[in-house]
Amino acid sequence: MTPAWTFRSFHASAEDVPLPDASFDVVFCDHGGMTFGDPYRTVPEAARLLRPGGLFAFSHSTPLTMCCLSDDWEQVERRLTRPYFGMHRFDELEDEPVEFNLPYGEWIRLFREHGFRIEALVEVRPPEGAETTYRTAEETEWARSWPMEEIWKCRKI
Amino acid sequence: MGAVVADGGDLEVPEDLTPHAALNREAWAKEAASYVASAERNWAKTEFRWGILDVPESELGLLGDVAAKDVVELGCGTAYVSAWLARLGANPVGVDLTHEQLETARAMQAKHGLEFPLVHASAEDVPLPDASFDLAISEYGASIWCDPDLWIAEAARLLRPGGELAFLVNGTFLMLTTPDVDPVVPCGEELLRPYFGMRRFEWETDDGIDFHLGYGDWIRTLTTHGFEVEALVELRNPGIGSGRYNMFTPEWAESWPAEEIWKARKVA
Repeated sequence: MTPAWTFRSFHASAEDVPLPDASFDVVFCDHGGMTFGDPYRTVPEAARLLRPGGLFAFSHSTPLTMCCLSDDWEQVERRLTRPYFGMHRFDELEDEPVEFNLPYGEWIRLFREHGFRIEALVEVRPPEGAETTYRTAEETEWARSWPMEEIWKCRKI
Repeated sequence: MGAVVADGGDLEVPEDLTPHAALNREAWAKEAASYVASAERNWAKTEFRWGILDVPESELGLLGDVAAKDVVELGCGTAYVSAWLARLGANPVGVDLTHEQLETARAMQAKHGLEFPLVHASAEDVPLPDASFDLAISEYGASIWCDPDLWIAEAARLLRPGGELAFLVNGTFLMLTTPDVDPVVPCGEELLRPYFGMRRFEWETDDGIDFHLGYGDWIRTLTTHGFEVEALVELRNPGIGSGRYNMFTPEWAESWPAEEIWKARKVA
């Protein structure tokens, strides 16, 4: 008997998904294609894949975090280390994946342009004493004061 | 609006101001004299320009054609935004908490021969009827001086279905980096206060109380009160600093958003 939890997986870029239009009720991503793909290509793909009324939800690093990264990306600093305006492609580290992010207003413009209604932006605050293997204790402390990750929730109109 | 707003005078109604509104009225009564010169300057401008960064509306196109639209300006101060809208053919009504600011507005109306109703009231409790406006606007008015849940609820009540809301506030990045010292010094690069929990602010430099929300909280507040978020325009105008306000340098404002405009539509 096939276990109920099997699902299909596809080897493809979130910027160009080999699946038909309007074939999903939910498009989601957790620190995945919405971080490592170019939003000017992934947002239209999400819109294409969803049926009308479908949900688009994804988590990623906040634009504020991207403005506070140390030069080597090893730390998040308590100061603005790089400009916000013009934020798009981050490819400064050798042998590291290219990442993307946009100013908050540009995300909103892009969602609207592709037929999404914005339902929520959930800025995640770790509870006191939270631990993670992804970040240092200092960074988790940073994330208690400023949003390090966030979840956009949009609805295809 | 003629039936609602008495001609040539404030509409005075018994009030039950929130504690911060009472403090803000007092603070602005003292400040009003120092805003006469900027009222003169702003009323003399022929073009709608947003914020300290002075970005022309003709560049942003946020408001579209306002001709014949009924507009309420919430926290109008000296009502120069309403004046610009009136010149574009709109029918504005200015609402402000501070009698002294409305006195300046009235003097400017007389000087420029441009009359529109002015209502002396808090934008948290506006004595105007439901569903009577097409556009609610606020530039450093209710948008920063009123409790967001109270004034956004009022904007929703005052607007007709499909009506638009546009308001300008200090940039969130600016709120995180502006030092709380008297006299004011420009914001720097250090994050001086937490983002989580930001809402109600008291400052060394003035007796007023202002309100600033993070991005997610603005979206939540707008959607809770029946608005659909249409845009967040983060202003940038190279070479322009904050002038006499001394809040940011032109260099800072080229890298980070010093002012932002939210645009939303009341769901039909």
